[in-house]
Amino acid sequence: MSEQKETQTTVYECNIRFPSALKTEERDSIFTKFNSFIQENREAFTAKIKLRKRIKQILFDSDNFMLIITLAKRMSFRAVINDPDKNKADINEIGNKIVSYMNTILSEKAVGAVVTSSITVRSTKTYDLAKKIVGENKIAKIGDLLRQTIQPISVAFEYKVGEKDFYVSSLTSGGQTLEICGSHTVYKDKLPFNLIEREISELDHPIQIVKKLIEMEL
Amino acid sequence: MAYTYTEENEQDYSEDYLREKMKKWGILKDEMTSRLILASSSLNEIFKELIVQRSGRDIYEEIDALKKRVQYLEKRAGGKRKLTKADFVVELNKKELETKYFGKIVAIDADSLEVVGIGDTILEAYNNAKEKTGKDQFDFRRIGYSYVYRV
Repeated sequence: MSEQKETQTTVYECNIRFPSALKTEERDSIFTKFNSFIQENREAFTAKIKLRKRIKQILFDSDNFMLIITLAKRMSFRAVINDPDKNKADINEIGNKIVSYMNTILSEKAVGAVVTSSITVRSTKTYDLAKKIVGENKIAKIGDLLRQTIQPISVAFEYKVGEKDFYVSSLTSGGQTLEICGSHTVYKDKLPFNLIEREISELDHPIQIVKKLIEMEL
Repeated sequence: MAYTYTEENEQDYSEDYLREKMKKWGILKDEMTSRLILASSSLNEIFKELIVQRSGRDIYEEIDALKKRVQYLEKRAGGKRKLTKADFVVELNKKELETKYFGKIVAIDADSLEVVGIGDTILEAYNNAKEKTGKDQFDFRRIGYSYVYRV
């Protein structure tokens, strides 16, 4: 019987939420401005673009990423990228254009944006990190108490570095492992240039922690 | 690149579309692993919410709620109340009523648009009006004031 091939899929997600509420007329005006901006720069965007006037949504759709701007009560931006290492340059290019335009049209309302980033890695390797951290003895004790055979499948923790909150979680079940590393930042000024690239590279910190935990003898 | 602009009243199906895309990429797979995904994505969401709560994003929600409350209270206190037939009757006979009955409470019959009872209290005005008209529902106003009783 041939051995099953190990596979790994990585997806990055970035959410930006602007704090200031937008009035209906402001939403209309921003949507119209965005439409003109996109039409003027249509050739520069390497994705299919869909604008939905009624729901005030702009969608950039490519084979490896999707970017959604929604003008609800508050403006939100969501980008999801397959294999970020390979595709981050493309999304970063589009992201830069859009983020700098958002900074311009929102002006002071772009200050204080909340950015959450996460990288999800799904692999067929099983690390059983939860079991390793909790420890066999403790699991046996809990099992005795509950009169059940228990299997810890997930472990999660959070920490803070400077102004950035990080969280790390690992979940193993059914012969698969999901690792989610995320961060949360409030940008006190306007959104910086190369935001997406910067957010992805900063997630390297929790990713390295997971790697160390897998290798470490605890 | 393809550009579509639509004004149709369509639903926001971006979430479903994204889900399909993630299935194609292999991060969301079959039913067998849905338990894993569900548990993990819930964890992800919980983390986001916990961190967000602590970092104060909910303050914006609070500000919005407070703004609404202030608007409501301003509306209540600022006399922006929709005028009724009783207000119309008082306004129409303002001069006469203020000369004769300043500070008194009047009972107004909204059907006949007339002042049908006068008294120092609502009860007095009510009894007066009931005796006169035989009805039992009236609007009350204190002449010269924007309120009937103030606590």
